[in-house]
Amino acid sequence: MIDKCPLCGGRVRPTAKRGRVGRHRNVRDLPIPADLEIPTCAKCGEAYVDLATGRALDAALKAAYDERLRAAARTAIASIIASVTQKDLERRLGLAHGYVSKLLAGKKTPSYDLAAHLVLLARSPKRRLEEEAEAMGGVGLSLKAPAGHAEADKLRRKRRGATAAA
Amino acid sequence: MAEGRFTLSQTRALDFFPSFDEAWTAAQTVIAGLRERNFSGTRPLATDVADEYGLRFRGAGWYLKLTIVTDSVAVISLHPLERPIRTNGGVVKP
Repeated sequence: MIDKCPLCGGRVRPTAKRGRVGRHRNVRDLPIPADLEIPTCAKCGEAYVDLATGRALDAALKAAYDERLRAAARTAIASIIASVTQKDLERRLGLAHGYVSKLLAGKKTPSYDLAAHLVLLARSPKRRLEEEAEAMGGVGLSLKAPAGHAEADKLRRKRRGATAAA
Repeated sequence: MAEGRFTLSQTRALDFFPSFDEAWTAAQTVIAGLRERNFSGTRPLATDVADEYGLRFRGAGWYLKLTIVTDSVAVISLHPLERPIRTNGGVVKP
């Protein structure tokens, strides 16, 4: 670890403090844990990161990044499902069955793209889904299941009924 | 380069990369590939001097400034060039 700041000549010491932020991937204002010591110049405030500190910093920022994505997705989904069902949302976004529930429960971490997509959808879910379907040729907004799905559902219900009766 | 003898400044090096790991790898690659033709000049610091380099990296012109503090190399700057830099090997453009 260096002990003297090459920029201003100030003393560089391992410093832990509140209110610091750092970058992970494309998010810049992620909180750095208050107890993480980073060699910092007492005079100009420049930080000098060595391998051990950098690895700890990376891990902390990645955890904060993932939590930011999970929180954004949770908040957005809570707003979207007021007007679109979870099942419908999954179908329209091409997500696996049950994935939205896992996002809501914080059991999965969405990609940045999916979290951003959900945040934008939450602003006006029906309108944006209609626009997307129109622009991308995706599944339309009609809440009625497509014919193929309706047939399959009917068959499934029939089988379930037969099993229950047996 | 020994692992513990290498530090990156946060605002002029680390913040230009998506993560510390990528910054570290880039710095190692750039420093290991330095040649005399990449050298641009020496600049005074508060209490010492730093060497400046201009080089091509990942298809663009990059700026590197480093100095030796005690027994470690401090990478003061590592980022894409903001303007052309004259080096021993010629002018490196952003």
